[in-house]
Amino acid sequence: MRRAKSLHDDPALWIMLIPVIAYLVLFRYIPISGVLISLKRFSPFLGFWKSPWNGLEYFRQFFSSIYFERVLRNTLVLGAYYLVFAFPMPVFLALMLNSVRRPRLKKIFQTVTLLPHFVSFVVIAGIAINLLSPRTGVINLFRQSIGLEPIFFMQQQGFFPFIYTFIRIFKESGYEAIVYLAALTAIDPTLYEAAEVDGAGRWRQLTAITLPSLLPTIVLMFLVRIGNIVSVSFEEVLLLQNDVILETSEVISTFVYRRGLLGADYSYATAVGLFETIFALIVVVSANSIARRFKNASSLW
Amino acid sequence: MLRLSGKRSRSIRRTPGEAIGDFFIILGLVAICVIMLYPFVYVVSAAISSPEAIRANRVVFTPVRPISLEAYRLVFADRRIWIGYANTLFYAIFGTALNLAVTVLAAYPMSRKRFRGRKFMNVFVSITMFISATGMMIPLFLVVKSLGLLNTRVSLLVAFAASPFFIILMRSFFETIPEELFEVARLDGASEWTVLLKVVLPMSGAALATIGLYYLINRWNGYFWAMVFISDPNKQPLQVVLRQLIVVAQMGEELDLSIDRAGTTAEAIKYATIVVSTLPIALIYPFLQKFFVKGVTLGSIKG
Repeated sequence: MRRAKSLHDDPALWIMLIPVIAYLVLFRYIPISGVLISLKRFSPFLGFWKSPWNGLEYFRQFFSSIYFERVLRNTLVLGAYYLVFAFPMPVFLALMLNSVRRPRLKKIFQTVTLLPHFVSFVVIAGIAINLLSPRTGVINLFRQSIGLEPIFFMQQQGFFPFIYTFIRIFKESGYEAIVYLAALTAIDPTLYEAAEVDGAGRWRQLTAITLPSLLPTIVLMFLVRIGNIVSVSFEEVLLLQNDVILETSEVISTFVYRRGLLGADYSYATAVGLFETIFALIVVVSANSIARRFKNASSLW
Repeated sequence: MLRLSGKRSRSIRRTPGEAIGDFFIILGLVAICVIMLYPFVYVVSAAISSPEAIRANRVVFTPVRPISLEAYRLVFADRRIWIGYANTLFYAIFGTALNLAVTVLAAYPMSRKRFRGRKFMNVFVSITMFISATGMMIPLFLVVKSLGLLNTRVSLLVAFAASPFFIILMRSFFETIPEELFEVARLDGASEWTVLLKVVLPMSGAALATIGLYYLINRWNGYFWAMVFISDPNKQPLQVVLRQLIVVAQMGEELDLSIDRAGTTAEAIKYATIVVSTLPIALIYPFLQKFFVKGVTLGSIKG
């Protein structure tokens, strides 16, 4: 059956690749090599080549600063909150949606729960800040109406992780439920029929058929999320935080933004960014290797 | 297979216990939907209530009568918002077109099983996914800066010309097209360009729609890099303008100014702008929902 391998070397195929190669070189590979400025004392006036080497000084500076512990802790706390509180929600939502028997109704529920996913972070954060505001926010109006003192939620350190996690749940649960819904429709319906013949009720069908069939998807998604634990969704945090609550809301990525782009401390911020990349890579690779062992047929990348 | 008949037979035999269970599930979903919709209902209500009603905290759920279109009048009278809107349309249309073109042109050769550069390109594209966005932030900014692209519309278009993830997704889709089809077309003397444009693209409507939509939403909702690259208000997209309105309104709040006329106006404009900026997406996504569902499943099968 083996035909002579005539590898295509049509120049047309290479011409098609010119845009993507140009793009990746210019805006991905050159920036990747640009992380070397973390080893230099980069000055925009001297440029990349003439800036003096600085060794690991910026890494040392970061690790010994108070920020290292703070941003690492906040990043991991937000990631852990996500895994504990937000991760199960789409699973529940998918199970609930899946048990709605009327297709029209199911479609309506799904459409509504998807809405927040399509709305920009800017809008979501803006509305959230508004609803939580001490004088005009609905939550505080309610508190006042039952005789409680209003709380300035966005200016108290302790609230931030919860607010952030709640908004993540609000925004992405409907979207993340899609994967589970797809897995649920892939379950062989004859299994349910057989269970019914055997007299298994709804609950029994859920625990004996639905959950076991869903488990591989759940575990796989969990490992993907663990892999992403370091890369908390940057834009959301940035748009929700303010200077008063940096102590609990500053994560690695927003710190890089503040020091690098706002403070023009390019080399230092790049060092922090590189630390994040390496840290994230280690987490992703370990999560992936566990996932591989778990389901050796599939790979996360 | 027999999915429909299976479902029907289950719904006929419903024990009282199951009926109660169903009821609570529906109740739960209604509650979730109320929570999901509430913030948006609030904004829509606030945007058509009079600025005085907003100021007096009388908007809680439904619009407060008398209905006022004052906020919209202010929005449409505000040049910043017009300009922002026009810019968003520009970035969304040209950005998405560029994204799709680069993605298709990259994915097609990568999907050809006999193409010599296939392996190399797969590695070349995939590697870039390993560097986190945070790690790239400063270096990317410096590259755009040194190319002299800061504060140009082109910067936003070309610095995000394609996403490696979607290139791989598109390639996976093209790979599902039977190789024989290419071979037959090639034997008929068609060039690779003809094969791509006349054979492959017409077969890829769903994949193009799915990936195009992801790009479009990202372009429409994108905030961070637009804010970083573009400081000229004449070139800023709506999300950046909107963010400024929100921050201004919030600052008034924090400084606890006894909200003056200007503060109220900023508040009203903010709500109306949120509606105006979000409406297009909110109106189209229900019809495009199935493509997103397709995209997620495509991605989870071959990520």
